[in-house]
Amino acid sequence: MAHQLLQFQQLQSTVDVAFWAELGRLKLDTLRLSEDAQPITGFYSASNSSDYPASLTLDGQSLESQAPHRKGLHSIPGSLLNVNTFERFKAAQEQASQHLQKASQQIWQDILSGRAQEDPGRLLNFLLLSYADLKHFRYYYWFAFPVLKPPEPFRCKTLASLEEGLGADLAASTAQACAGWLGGISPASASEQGAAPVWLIRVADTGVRCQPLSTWQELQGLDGRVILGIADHGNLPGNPGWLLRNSLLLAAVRFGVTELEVACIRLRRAQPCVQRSLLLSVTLPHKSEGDWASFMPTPTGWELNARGKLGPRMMNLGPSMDPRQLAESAVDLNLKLMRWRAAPALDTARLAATKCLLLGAGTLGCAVARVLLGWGIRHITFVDSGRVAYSNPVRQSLYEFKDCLEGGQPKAEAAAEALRRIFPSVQASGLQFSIPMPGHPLSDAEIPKAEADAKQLDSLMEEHDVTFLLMDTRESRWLPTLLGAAKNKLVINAALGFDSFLVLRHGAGPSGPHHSANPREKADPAGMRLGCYFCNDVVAPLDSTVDRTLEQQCTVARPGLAGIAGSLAVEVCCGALQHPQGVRAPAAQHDAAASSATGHKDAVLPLGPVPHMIRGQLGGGFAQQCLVGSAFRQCTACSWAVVEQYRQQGWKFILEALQDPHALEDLTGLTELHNAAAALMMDASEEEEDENDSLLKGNDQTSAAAGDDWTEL
Amino acid sequence: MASGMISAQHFEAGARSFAELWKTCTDAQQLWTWHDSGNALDAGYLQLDGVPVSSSAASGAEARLAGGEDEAVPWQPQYTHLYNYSIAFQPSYSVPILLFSGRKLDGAPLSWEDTLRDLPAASRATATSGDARWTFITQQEHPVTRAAMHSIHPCETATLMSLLLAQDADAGPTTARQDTVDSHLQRDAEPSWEGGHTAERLLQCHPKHGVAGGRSDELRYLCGWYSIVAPVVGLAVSFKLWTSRAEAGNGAG
Repeated sequence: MAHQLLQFQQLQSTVDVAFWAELGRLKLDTLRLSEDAQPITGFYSASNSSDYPASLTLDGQSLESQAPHRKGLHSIPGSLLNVNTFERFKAAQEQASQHLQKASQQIWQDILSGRAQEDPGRLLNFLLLSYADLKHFRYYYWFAFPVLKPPEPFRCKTLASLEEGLGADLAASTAQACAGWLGGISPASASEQGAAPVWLIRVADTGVRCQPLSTWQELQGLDGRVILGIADHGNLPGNPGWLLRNSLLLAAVRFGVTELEVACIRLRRAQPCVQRSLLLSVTLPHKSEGDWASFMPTPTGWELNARGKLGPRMMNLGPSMDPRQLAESAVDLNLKLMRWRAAPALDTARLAATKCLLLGAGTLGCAVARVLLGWGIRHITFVDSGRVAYSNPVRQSLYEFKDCLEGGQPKAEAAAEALRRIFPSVQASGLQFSIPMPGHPLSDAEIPKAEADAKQLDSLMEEHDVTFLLMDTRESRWLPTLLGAAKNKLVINAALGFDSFLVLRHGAGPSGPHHSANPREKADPAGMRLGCYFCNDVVAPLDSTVDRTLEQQCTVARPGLAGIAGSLAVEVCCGALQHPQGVRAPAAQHDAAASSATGHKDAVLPLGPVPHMIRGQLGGGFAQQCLVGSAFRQCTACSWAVVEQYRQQGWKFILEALQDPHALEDLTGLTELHNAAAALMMDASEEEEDENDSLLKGNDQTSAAAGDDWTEL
Repeated sequence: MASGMISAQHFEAGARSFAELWKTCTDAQQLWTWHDSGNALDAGYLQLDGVPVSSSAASGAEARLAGGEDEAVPWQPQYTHLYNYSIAFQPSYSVPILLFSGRKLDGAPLSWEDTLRDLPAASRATATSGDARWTFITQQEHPVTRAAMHSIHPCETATLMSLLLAQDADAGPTTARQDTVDSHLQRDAEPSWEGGHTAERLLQCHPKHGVAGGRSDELRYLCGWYSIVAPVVGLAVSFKLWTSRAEAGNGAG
């Protein structure tokens, strides 16, 4: 039988995340810009599985100057060339052959001098070229496990399992002796680096013993077989591992033999396994001592990358090391837990994709933003014209004392900045401008600014999916209410009194001028259009800050109120977003989806039915009520007439309304209504028994604030 | 333990016995081994390292010469993922928790998507859905090593274990309880049972009057728990766990 060319299974590298973390720390604290070669330690053990080879592993301890010995692992010295830039890494790659030449030269010198025989770990000396992109947690690297090619290839005379090659009994005692060597029990193998990965197995009549490589010469005069033992990382049944190559060259040079028996020790359940371990008989090239000294072996050994090419590898550890990405996935998982436990059909992706516009960054704005973050909403924009005042931080959860200094930071941007501190992956921004308000007359000089503001608000509402009205005046809510109706977008309104609050979701925009005879579109409760904030008013919004006490103007509410109302506003918002009908979702008590399909209602409405309006007050016993009200045909903000007028005339119409709110009353027919009401009041006082169904039924109070037509739950 | 919970001491005793018993029940190349926590506060844990899972993302790259060298074994693409598993004590829930993490051979951690692909088909479907009450897979920190790993969420474990243990205590299993457990088992665990044993048979193999009698309570707890959670992550359960008469069962704690 012709002697087979011996083929070796390549050694592969495994780099633990902890190594890169440690390298990052070392680079920042110690190495800084230095590119000097650093000594490092790699670890490997004999292969312990038939399914995959063992590899050379770098981990958190590889960069320690004196890497501790670890049970069952062989420590291998290596050299790290870490460069500072990607360009330098590419340059180093081009010099790969010089680097390899240098490293293998060292190994060759160690073989010739006998140092490698004393310390076989030197045969395996490896090289690591790397560039750590610490900002993006990307690591570029390339290992070389240098081997020196012999003048002629090694050939294999026989190859068998240890059990077949030695016979069951001898194989068992050999395995036992090797277990002693590898476990450091044999005194000869005990060293600071742990058991040497290459050793000698002497098989004599007296038994099987393992000894250091350096005892070869002593053993020559004695009887018995001497087998070269190696902790073999390979798992293939017909090939020894890569690391045997330099050991065979050492045997050819130092032992001067042309034939050598080799036991490649492999493990099963961490113990030498006679079935998996190999016994080889290898023929070695022969040269005289002098010829070896002048021989210049060719090196090889760069590791192949995942595509099988000679080239570097890249490990992207962003997902496991970047704190931003870690926070992001933890938040996602948390929401998924909610899905699992309570709301199986919850569409968290839909929430994450929702863009929210918060008009007002005061107590309500801060409260709403924080709960939105909790729901996994990632896109939040604040609009506020004010600056952070000294009284704000204690009530408005996104601000701190330092935000009040130097005249105060603009609130919108300070709030956005705070959100980014809380959750860096949020896309938060803040814009400083005021929302034009009816009844706050503009001077000619102010008009262009108001126009720009109105247009900016229009485009912001276009870009966002939901708008929250969280301002401190009634009339500033008019324009966004109108815009929401015109765009048919979800608008959530929250308003505070001193000890009462209102949370309301506006209904869909008007679909046309057609109406039932009844001014309130109430025919089919489930299909009715829900009212907006102004639907209960029979007067156009006016300047509400004029006749107020100081307290009312500063809108000081009981401090807990904003948290309650803000939270409810977000919950109403999320409930509507998860509702299949979205902005058209019927009010909770009219919602067929919630009542009819019992048993499967979770699937239809993951968060249950959504109320139209919640009123609560702390003053009179902490009561809270859910109410529903239909859209008012003559509403000054969401009626067809107003929306149409805006669509046709745009800014011109807005300006008119700002300058003279009564124009709105004329437009919507409220003026007419007032006149009719006045007449009717007179009639009613004259004819008290007249129960005639009037136009004004349920709408007979002209007080803007009362609005008692809402159906109570 | 009737509550379905287990104390840290009983966990340790049960886990050590389990590791001993496991050795005699499997031909697997990797074994569960006990690790001390290294501090006085935490319980230790069992660890099973380097279990290969062939990635299903295999594509058709071919073997070729390694770097043009004929003295090297030709290069072949590798699709093996290596998984580490850990059984630790979850102090807040007082139950064992099975954690796992996968990596590629080069050490790169597997993404959640890759991990999901490696799970048994039945678990893959239920891992993230609301249908799976106790097979929901989430990300958890290892209670001892603090490494980020995946795990079966522990919050239904005690309920499940109390159902199992209640059966132990009763002479004849309550039908209602049996139904509950069976429906869980059939949905979540059955497809990966070794040798086609059904969960029902496992339960019939009653630890008290079954062949594996004479074991400590904590070992029975661990075996019962393991038999149900292991298949969820694709770990084989040996039926021998219930049939072998291991002396190890007499409690190493």
